[in-house]
Amino acid sequence: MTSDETDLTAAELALGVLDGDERTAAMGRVLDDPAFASNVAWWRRHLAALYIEVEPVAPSADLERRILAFGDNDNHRTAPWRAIAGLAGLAAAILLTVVVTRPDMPAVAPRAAKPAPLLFAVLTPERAAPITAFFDPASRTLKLRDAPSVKNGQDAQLWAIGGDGVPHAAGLLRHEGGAPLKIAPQVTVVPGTTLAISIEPLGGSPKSTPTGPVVAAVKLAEI
Amino acid sequence: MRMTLRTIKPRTASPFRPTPLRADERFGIPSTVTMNQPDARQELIKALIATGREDRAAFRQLYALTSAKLFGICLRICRERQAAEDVLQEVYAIIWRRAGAYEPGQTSPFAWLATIARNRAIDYHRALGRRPTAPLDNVAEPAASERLALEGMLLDEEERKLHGCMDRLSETQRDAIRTAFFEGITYAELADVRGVPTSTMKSRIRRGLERLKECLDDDI
Repeated sequence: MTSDETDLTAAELALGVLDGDERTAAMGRVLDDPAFASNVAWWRRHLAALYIEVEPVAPSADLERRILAFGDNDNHRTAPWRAIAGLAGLAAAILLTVVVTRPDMPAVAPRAAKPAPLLFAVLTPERAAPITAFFDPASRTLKLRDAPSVKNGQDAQLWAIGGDGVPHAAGLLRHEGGAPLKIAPQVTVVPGTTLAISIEPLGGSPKSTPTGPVVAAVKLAEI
Repeated sequence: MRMTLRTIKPRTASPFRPTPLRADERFGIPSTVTMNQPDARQELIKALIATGREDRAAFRQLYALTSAKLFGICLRICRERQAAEDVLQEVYAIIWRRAGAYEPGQTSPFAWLATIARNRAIDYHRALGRRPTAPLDNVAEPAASERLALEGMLLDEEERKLHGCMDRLSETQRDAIRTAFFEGITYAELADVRGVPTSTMKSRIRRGLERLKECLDDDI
């Protein structure tokens, strides 16, 4: 460790005590500054020793069944409906946040008897935390947990790229709120659709396609 | 699996240590724990790597080995069983999809998994805004027979240095850093909980982190 001794931002980020702008700025540094990123990783690795003290608690058998059903669709088997219901519950919980914080958003339908399978992907921007994406075909909403850090004057923009290979703008990603993105009807989102994130000028790409670097891209799959 | 069931008692560290620590004390582990560590560690690494190849049997094994500990982490931060279950499901979804990205040389498998769990739990409860204030001690239920003996065997030698270094902090510094870590809360929340100004809490933690860094940087 040869970095500035008084700069403890990496430690503060790893410990999780930063909030708001400070946290956003620190996460931006993880993207821009490889030395800082490895500093954060160094702290995370050391702080992990504290996990030893956390009391283990067995998750419920029901949750275990839902989790161990992951990958069923990868083998082209029918997903147990429990897994789907569980994820619908998760989506409902996520959407509930939005209902509370964004009264202008449409409320999610109550848990349906047979919800459509959710699509799932994990976007992995370089040197940043993975971003999970859930797409609910029933409401055509895409929920991303978190967003990549960008510099001032920039936005992270999401794109959906279907079988035609043409990127369709799907919305801007923000750290705050975690509002689900409503996907326009003309944008096809099915298993195999690629989600991509590009860094664009504030307000998003001035063109109909990405103009900035693509920091993450991954295909959606049923879970 | 050659893991044995073992419970590690919470460490009750004294604020001052007048005498130099023995190596095993410094690492914060009983010396008896060290024997089968490499095997257990290798099992976990193998399960994680095989999960990365979408080996579902390996994923089941990984779940059996880690779920109680990861759930404990989620529960500690979320404080609500339902929220913790939602987060745990998301955590294993990420593990299932991302295990292929795990690099054994970079970090211990447990640190990798636990960091995912903690970060997801923190993101979750921060996205929801203020969480309910259930008393912490009432949340954890001891897991029964399948309680994991991940403890001493999960971390490599370097990663075990922390406990010895934590013992060298002042009591208030150690309390602040531990509380921040386990509860996943910010400077402001921490200051609230301890009834001090945020600036006081900041300098307390920063001084503690500085001392930790010096200690961790010291070669044994």
